[in-house]
Amino acid sequence: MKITYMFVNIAVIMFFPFIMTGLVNKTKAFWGGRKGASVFQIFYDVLRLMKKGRVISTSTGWVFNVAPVVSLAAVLCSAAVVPMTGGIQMAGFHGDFVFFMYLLGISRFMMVVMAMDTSSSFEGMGASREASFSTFAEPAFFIFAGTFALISGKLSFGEIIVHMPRGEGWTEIIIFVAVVLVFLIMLAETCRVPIDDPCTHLELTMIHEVMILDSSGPDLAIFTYQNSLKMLIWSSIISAFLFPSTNFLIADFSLLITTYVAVSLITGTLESVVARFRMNTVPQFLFIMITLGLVILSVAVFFSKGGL
Amino acid sequence: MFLAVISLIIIASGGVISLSLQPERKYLALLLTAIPAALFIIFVCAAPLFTGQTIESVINMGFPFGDVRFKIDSISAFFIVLTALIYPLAVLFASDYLKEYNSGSFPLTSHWFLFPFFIISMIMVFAIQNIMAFLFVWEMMSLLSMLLLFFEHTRKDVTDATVNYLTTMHVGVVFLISGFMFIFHITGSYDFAVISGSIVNSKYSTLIFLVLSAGFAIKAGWFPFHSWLPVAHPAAPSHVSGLMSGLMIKTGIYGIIRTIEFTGTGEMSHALIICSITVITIFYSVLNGMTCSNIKKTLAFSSIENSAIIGLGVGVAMVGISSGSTLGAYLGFSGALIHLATHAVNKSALFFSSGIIHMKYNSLEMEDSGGLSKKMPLFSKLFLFFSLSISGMPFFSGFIGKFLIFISLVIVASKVEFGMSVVMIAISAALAFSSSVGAILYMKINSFIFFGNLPEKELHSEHETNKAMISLIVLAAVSFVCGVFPWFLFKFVQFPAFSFLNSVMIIPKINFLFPLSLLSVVFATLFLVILFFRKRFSNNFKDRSASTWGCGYRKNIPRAKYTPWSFSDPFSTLFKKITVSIENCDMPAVLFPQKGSFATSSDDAVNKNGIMPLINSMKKFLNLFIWIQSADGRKYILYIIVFLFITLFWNMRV
Repeated sequence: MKITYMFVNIAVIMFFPFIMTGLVNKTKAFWGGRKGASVFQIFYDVLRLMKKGRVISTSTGWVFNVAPVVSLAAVLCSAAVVPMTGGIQMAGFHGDFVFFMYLLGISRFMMVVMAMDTSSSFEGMGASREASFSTFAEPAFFIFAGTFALISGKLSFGEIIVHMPRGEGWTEIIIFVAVVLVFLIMLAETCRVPIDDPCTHLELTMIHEVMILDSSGPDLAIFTYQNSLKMLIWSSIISAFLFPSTNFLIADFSLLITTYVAVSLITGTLESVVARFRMNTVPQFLFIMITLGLVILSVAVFFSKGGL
Repeated sequence: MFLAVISLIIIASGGVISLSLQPERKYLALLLTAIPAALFIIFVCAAPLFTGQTIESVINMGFPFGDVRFKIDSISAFFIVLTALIYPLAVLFASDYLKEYNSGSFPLTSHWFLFPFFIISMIMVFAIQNIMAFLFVWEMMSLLSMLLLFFEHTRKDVTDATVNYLTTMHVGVVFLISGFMFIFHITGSYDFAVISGSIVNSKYSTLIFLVLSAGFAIKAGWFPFHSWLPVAHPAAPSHVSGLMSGLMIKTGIYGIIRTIEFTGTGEMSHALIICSITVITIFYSVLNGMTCSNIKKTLAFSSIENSAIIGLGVGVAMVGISSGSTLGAYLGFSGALIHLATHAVNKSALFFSSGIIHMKYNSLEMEDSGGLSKKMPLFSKLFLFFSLSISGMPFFSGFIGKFLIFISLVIVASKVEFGMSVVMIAISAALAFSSSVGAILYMKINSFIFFGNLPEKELHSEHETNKAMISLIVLAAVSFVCGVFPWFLFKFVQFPAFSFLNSVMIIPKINFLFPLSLLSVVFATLFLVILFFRKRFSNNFKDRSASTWGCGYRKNIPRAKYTPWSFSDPFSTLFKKITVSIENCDMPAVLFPQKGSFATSSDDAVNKNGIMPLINSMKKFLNLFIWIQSADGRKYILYIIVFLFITLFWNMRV
């Protein structure tokens, strides 16, 4: 039973990231009145990039070569502790949410160091922004995870979503706020509008894209896949909190896919209707996440401890 | 106990033998005595550490100490083993580092001679359980570290830092003496064993706790007493700053743990004081560390942060004890000790590395360096390893301690009432925020020293660094084992934690030690698989090399590199209330082009607004009496006569 779920999870991790990003692009094309590229376009892009050779900057050293691989390995490893189909994790243990967030930290560390290795001011600027902005997502996530660990009395993702109280008025409210919070964290972590624009073409305004400016061929393929994978991982968390397991593989799987599609469509729509923020207003947006986290925390603790 | 004394004598003999050797061979005396002594010490401490027995003996030392109790219990043993482990490696590193000072007027002989005694004084601090003797060795430790710090005595900043250090340490000693004397006043005993039972529930326990913790917090570098660290570290030789940061600030933590044992481990108010002070320290130190561009200053701020994280673990353990959550308390305290051990290993290694960087660039400013990974690939890999480790990344050793503290925060939060559990989760978020800023600190150091283009000026490549590299590799091996096999670390902290909790408990099955090891194998496998596939797919084309994309500029010059200052700019503008940035702008006043200059630097707000005005006003006050010291022999004779007359009349009065 669990083994089947795991194989489904591995298949999801391998193929669905491409489709999610493809769907976001398709949605953006739809709102823009264009036909848009195929949903599988990102997949074709990655395949094409994989077959290409690399152009490596003369300023770089060993870290430029190693960083993409470490970064992707860390993100894939973090996918292993995230509950996916039916809330099943591939490797769950006590405190895995701490592990999860810090693994994304390894990935970020390596990307920043790699960007700085090219010795380009543009990439330095991107690295500095990415490093600064991502620090605000981390406390928000810890408040969120800590709150649910607290009210469920469990310490791992998989157990939290099984044991957390559902079905009462206040639980529905905090689950809704938590989903909004995770969605916002996802926007920040995967460099989407309104924090960053993946389609921008001016180096000075980029955050994530400018860091991988000098990566080419398979390295670029790795980063494209990795960024889509991050989106999938955060959407899986949303799905796990929204839909408790039904114990039917088909039902669980379709619920998961529904969440993915919904998240992609909402992201695409958001990117079409909202302009990106100016750089100096981004931290304010990021503080909103912490505030939302504190709202969840206070409400949850208030009700689960039976009031003051 | 006999073996322990023998091993201390062996360490001391190293210093004495070194007196008779040539400067370039002095390290041999220390190294050859340090290794057997370390093995002896680890052998002696194995029993207290792994079984919880204590080694104890009481010796009458006469006036003023009285009966001095030497006692190695599990907590002492933990600290002593750590000291014994790092000492030989520091000597090995110093043998390379001090080579460049062989020519010149540096006090090499006294430096090598005093070095072992500094270690002995630290070990004694952990082993002595008598107020007077403790204060004596504590003072010895401060003085010896001051003398070691005062190595490059010709540099102005070194003398300033030494004076600053000495003053700060003595402010700390004032707190300690008053606290301990108050304890003596209440209990009438110098003996720790008597004290710890008799003041737990007395009405003075909070006062004693505050005074003693303030004294120890100065050593541990907690806000607002941290200001000596960023000043002393850049001035000290690298092996000394490695030991100071890796081990000596831990004596402050040790003192705080002992204070808590005296005044009650389950006091909620004390726990909250510790938690709040440490959280403020963590915030303050990482944000200030972000703005520094001196490597050692940045590392010093990171030491403050980590010292406070250790303190936070202890604080959470206290909350756990007082709220009846034994598991939370156990995890919190063992997390604190594990973090202490991994920080000692990684931070000494990072300070040693900063010494190697200094040898290569002859500068500790990040702006002067860059691209070292092209010249020293192994060194840059080791540095990246230690950086990832100390930033608390999974699979590396620094993760385990932070991880346990996070878990214990959540566990404790579920046991306390409404307000406290909100506070506990908020603390975990604050810890997450600061440790991710802490990671940026290391991203910054790595980026600007090891990666990017080489600077325009020449590297000093004539210095040998083989022995220094060996010590780094040994530290990396220790760190690696700790990171991949966390249960190995748990063996070391189990009995110290029991002794702090004052109970032996059966630990419920905590399911994360094995998965962490397993996942590190998964991580390594994934790494290799991705590496293989990347090679496999793209082997039709060879990698081409070209200049970095510069928006049309073809040549990528070192000067076009992003600067450390701009790298931390998003943070320093966001938190400009907390960080202090100084801009020195020298604009040409005339129309025709002349030389102008612009420089940015950072300062510590506490130092700038608190300590320095205090010192300056003190100086101003003391300057009023400067006429007394006139350097005139006749006046001095006059003083003597006047003083003699005064004493004469004073005696006649009776």
